[in-house]
Amino acid sequence: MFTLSATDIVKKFKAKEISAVEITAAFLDRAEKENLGSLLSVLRTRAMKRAKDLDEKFLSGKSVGALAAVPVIIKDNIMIDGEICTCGSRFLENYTATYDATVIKDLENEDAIIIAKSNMDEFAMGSSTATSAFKRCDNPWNTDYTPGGSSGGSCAAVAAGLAPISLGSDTGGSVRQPAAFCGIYGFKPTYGRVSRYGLVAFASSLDQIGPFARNIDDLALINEVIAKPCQKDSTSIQTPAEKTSKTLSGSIKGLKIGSPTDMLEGLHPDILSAYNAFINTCKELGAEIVNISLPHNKYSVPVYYILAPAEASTNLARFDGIRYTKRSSNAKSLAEVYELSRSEGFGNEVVQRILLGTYVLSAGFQDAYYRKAQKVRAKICEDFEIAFKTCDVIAFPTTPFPAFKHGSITDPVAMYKQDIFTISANMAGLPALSIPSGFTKEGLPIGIQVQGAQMEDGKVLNVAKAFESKTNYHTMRPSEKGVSL
Amino acid sequence: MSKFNSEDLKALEKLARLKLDINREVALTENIQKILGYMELLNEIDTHDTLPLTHVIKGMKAPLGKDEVSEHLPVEKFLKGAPARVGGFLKVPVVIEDKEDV
Repeated sequence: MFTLSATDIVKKFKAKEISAVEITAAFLDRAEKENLGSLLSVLRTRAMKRAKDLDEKFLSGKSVGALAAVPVIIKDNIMIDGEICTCGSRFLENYTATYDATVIKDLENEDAIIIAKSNMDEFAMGSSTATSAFKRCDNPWNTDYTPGGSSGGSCAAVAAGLAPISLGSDTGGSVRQPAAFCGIYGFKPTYGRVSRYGLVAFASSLDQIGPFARNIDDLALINEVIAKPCQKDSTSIQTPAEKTSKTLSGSIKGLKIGSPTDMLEGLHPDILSAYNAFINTCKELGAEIVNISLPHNKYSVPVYYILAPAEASTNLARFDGIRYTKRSSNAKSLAEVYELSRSEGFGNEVVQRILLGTYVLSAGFQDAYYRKAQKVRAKICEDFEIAFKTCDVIAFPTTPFPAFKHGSITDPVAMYKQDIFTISANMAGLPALSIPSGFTKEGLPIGIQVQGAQMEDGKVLNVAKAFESKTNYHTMRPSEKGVSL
Repeated sequence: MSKFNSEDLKALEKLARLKLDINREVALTENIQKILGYMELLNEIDTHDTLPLTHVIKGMKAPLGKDEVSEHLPVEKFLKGAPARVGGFLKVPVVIEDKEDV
């Protein structure tokens, strides 16, 4: 059952081969036993009630939704009314969400069953899930390695068969990088295509909720459910989204794929080989390869680590020791309520980014850092505008290196450079997908990323549909590589 | 620009409402020095004629909500998340002392 796709689960449920209660109970049992550190809470009471209600609804003859009985895992920075929402932080370890995020309503309106909240880097700040205040999360392909981050829990869980689909959030690559490290699909939709209402804000001009799945049809299905206009998010795109589950033809004949050859220097050799193989497969499928240049991509990391901390320092000001449950027991004055609650509640990476953000926004430095970064961001966007005049989509590796071992990167700049290939899509608001595209000699997964112009999410997913028809990387599971879960 | 130092960090702590112990201060000062050094890469680019980007989706207008009463967060539900409360209010330590009581 744990290798079934979401699409298959819906079919089996509708064919009355299995009930929602049976499916949900089986996945909850598995979730409660998991030892990867991918989950922070299992929502047994809520999930079983919803499963029971769904069975009753179905048996009474009422129609059921597109995700009927599908178990879904949610990153712990997306709010579910009445459930703990920690954001991977001690600050929020006792905080109960007071409303549903729009994506939660969308999923449950389509009868999905949310079974668990997943582990993550604290407030989504990190590339390895190691900044989680609660526990380490392992890569299911080799537990000595990180699953990537910050949505490492949602990603590792799907790779390990704890659910067929999950949601993460992607501010600089936090869905795509773990997807590449764990050998599954991870998609960041066009900025504003999926509502951010109920996603705990990190860097609001970059944040985007995105799905994980093990096959492209499942990814298209969940994406279609959550890609909708939202009145409660002022940056939500108000035009209706295309029906991605219906528009994937699997044909890329005549599609122009841009290849930024100048970005391929210094890649891990197995990733370069996988990229070349990806390009060749696309050619065999009828695509035309066009050389393009993204000359400002190398600046995307420093730009990101100015803009994202600047926005984070503002967004995280709300955690003040007065709301959201946490207050230092040592605080005597109002100033101490702020200072001690925040210092005790936030981990080092979060504090570092708050301080960086405060620095780049402070009087005297704002022009040199923040304004400068906003201008370079404009140049990064211009690169894409020029590139998309000659091609339909762009393909390059999701990461320059495969998954790294726990604790092997301690230098902050080296860690930040992990995001070198993923940040630019957030900078420019583009849809971007990591596609399972091979393995290193050591058996670690490799992801190739396809980026599209704004609003062309379907075109990006269709490249994966075509690639999937010619390859079997997406069908390989960690257990087949000898890793015991 | 002079190198980021522990005094700079102290000033930031005050602005960001943080009070860190010395071990964290030492590590953070070193890290922030390194990160700011890396950011100097941006000085390579001439941006004199470039306008700062503030909205990534071109032509998008912020939608106005309908002018009607909608669901709102009940006070009692919100206050369940309060570390301290008095009746229907959030409780904080005394801000202004009553001089006659001092």
